[in-house]
Amino acid sequence: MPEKDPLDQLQEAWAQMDVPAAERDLLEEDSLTQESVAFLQQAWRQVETPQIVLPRLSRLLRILTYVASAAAALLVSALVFFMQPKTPHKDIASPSVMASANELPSAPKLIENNQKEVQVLAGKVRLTMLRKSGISPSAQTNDS
Amino acid sequence: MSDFQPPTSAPSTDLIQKAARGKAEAQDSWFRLEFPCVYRLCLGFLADAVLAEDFAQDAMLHLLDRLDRWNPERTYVAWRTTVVLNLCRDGVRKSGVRQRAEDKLKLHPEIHSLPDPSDAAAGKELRDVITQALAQLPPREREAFVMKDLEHYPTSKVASAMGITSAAVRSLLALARRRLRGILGPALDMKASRKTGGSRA
Repeated sequence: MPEKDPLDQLQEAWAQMDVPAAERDLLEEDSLTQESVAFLQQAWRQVETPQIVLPRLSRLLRILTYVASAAAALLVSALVFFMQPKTPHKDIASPSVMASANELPSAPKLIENNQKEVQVLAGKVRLTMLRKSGISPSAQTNDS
Repeated sequence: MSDFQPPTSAPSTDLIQKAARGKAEAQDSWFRLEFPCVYRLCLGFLADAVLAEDFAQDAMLHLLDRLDRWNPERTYVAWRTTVVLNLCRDGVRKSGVRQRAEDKLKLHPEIHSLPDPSDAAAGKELRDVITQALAQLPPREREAFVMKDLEHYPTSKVASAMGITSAAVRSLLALARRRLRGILGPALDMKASRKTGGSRA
């Protein structure tokens, strides 16, 4: 005959134990209260313990669950990233936007280049760069 | 005071210390010995069978990680019960178990029939009645009732686990028992009257 699992033996012993005598304060309660408590005490004896997952297996399961949930989260993020409509930062980098950025109203012109300053005009924008005193324009710029 | 000790009262100090040192065999034995009791505590504190299973497994790993912190001068059962109780309280706060229990109450406001508590085959049905009845108790009353009347811990241990006085435990118990009479009483009355063929005073 196969030997019984110790847990089953424990469960059986637990279920077969008599409920201990009621305490004095419980005996002071009315009979219906005593019956209600006695019912729950007897029912409590029949509560079955779910299957035990031993610590090593339990830890392994936890790690696997963690890895699986992290992988699932990554997969979902990747799907969301690839399936979403084009975002503004992509548009900026797209060739059409770059081309339009290059289409300036007019090419920049050097309008002033003297001992004190250099001025460049591009459309309506004028850029003025002041020279440090004592440096000649030829040493500062690569202008031809 | 009752001298009754549940069969899963406490593993030996030697076994606990070996398990704390990481001996795999001792850990397995400790797990087998402790899981039923920890599960019942979780079932009682949470009044939810599915959650109790998850919480019990978590609580076991939590306890195992902290076994080396247990001071042998303190009763092991009291230490373990306090840890499980605090875990369940935290879990209730975080996961909205209370809300679910309240929703359940709305769905099952009354217990109409009771299975035979000595019938081992009615295990699931009995567990449902237990969780349904316990779910209707306020958390502190439920904790006191589970530890004292269902697990038969001495009042002083219940008081120490809950961080209250023994007198406060006794008054929580009285409230819980009367509330349970209100929950189970009508069904018990009905059962008794069916047996006797008449009504009970």
